[in-house]
Amino acid sequence: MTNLKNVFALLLIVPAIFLCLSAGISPAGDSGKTGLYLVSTGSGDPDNITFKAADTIKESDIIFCSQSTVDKFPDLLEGKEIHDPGFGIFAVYGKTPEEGKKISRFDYDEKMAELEKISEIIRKAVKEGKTVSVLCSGDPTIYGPNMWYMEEFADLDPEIITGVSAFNNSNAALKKGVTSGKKAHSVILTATFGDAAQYNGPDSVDKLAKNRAAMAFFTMFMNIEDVVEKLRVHYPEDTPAAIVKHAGYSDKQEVISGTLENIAEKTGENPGFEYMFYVGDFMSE
Amino acid sequence: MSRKPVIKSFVFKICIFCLSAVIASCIFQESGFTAEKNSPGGFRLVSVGVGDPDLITVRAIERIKESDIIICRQSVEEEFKEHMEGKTVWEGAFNEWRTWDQDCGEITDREKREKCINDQKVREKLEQKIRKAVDEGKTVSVLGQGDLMIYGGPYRWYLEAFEDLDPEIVPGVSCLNAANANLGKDIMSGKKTSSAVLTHYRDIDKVAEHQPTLIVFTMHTEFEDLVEKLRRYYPDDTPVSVVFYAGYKKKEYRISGNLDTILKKTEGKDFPFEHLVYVGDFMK
Repeated sequence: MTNLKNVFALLLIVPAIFLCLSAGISPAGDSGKTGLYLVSTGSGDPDNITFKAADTIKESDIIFCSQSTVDKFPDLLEGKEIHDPGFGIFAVYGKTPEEGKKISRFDYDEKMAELEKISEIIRKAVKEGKTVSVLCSGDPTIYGPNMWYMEEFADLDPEIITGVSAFNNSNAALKKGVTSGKKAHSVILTATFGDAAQYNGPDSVDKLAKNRAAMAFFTMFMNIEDVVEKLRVHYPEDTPAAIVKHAGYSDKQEVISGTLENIAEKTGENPGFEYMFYVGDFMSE
Repeated sequence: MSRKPVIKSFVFKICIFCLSAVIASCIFQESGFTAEKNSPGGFRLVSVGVGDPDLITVRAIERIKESDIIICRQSVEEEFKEHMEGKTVWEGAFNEWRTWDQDCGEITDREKREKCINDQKVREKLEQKIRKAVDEGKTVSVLGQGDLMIYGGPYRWYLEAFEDLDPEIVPGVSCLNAANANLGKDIMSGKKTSSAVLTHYRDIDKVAEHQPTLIVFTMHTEFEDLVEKLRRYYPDDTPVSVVFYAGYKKKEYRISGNLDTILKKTEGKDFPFEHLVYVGDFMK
């Protein structure tokens, strides 16, 4: 009888111990933080980061981020193992060597070598039960340079921890309901990639402009004059237009307001890389 | 009687007075009291993010802590209770804003007209309270979820009514960002388009002509109506995804299909207010 009791006890205790141990071994306990994350640190000032993002970073063993991010969040990243996230891999990812080598902005072989290195680090770490976070600014899914991680490491089921985008910051800077236009209650998020004058696809600026909804441009390499010319095909000259520079940086943020007629002139020669361009009657007084 | 002792005593009293004033002003400045008294207080609109409370930004929490008076929905008060201890909390006009830019006199339906007038009274009273507090040097913050400038109905009234106070708008995570994260795709990677349109049911006719990537803020639209309208503009094999409860880690989920299969796939599902619909071949 006692033997049976002992066996029974063992049958209860051993799994219980196993469960406790496994809960302890898992670095995250019950929050499940193992594996790969794309974490937004927000956009603009460091205090635009969410608590969830900060927590995820704290619990990470390995971080991929730029030097400027390290400078921006010194306390959060102190003592972490940090690697370069491979800016520019997005330009060649998924392309054949032939296609890739046509890209002038980035060196195909160099980027593919970086990708291999990054992949090695991530896969080894995740296998060892470590937590890896790739840091991004803004909303990583809106013109972000790191979405290739989601494809390359799809088998690791990476999770995106979202954050405040330049779009949200700029909306806040303009202090106007961006979807409260008179002609339409929609907003088009778009970018021209420096190609506004020549590009003729279905979402060329002039085609998008037909409905006179609000438009918010992410301005990587944008030529304001080219864009304004295309917008004026459908928007009246006196349609309000605005530039938001350094959105989200409390000390640098600046809004330049005007109309389609004068916004290029008001903005001047070199608005810099980091600005948003808005057009639409939602900004009318 | 010699004047000297009288003068000495007078000078002594002045010195003590000045010293006390200096010490007092130092103390008051440390506590920020002087600053509040000399200049009017502030008025702000603060986003608390969307979904779980940990999607709020560090800046927004700081603003909440710095506020004297908070205006927010009860659910938001519950979520951030620990940061609102000791603060005055007022009800905002969250149910009384819809007719803010209408002339109540032009409403023909009697019941609706009466509601319009009552709502106006509620807003006027609230406006008075806010202005009085700000004049007294208090900091008043209106809290809301998501990006308050995207389909942020209640906040449009605050923006208009308090424009002269030039309120700070504290940005936060929108359901858009949270749902994008759930989808896990580059939303700008459409095969024919690298643009996305944030829209709602009634506007689809205006924006859908060239079949852009659509992100529909549903706001009480019936899903069947939405799908029917979309099928007028997009081919049947266009991918569609519905993200439910974006930002709520435990509740968030999505259902994906094509325009011709999505109704079947979502049959019988509860469609809460919090759902976002994505349309476009970027999901292929």
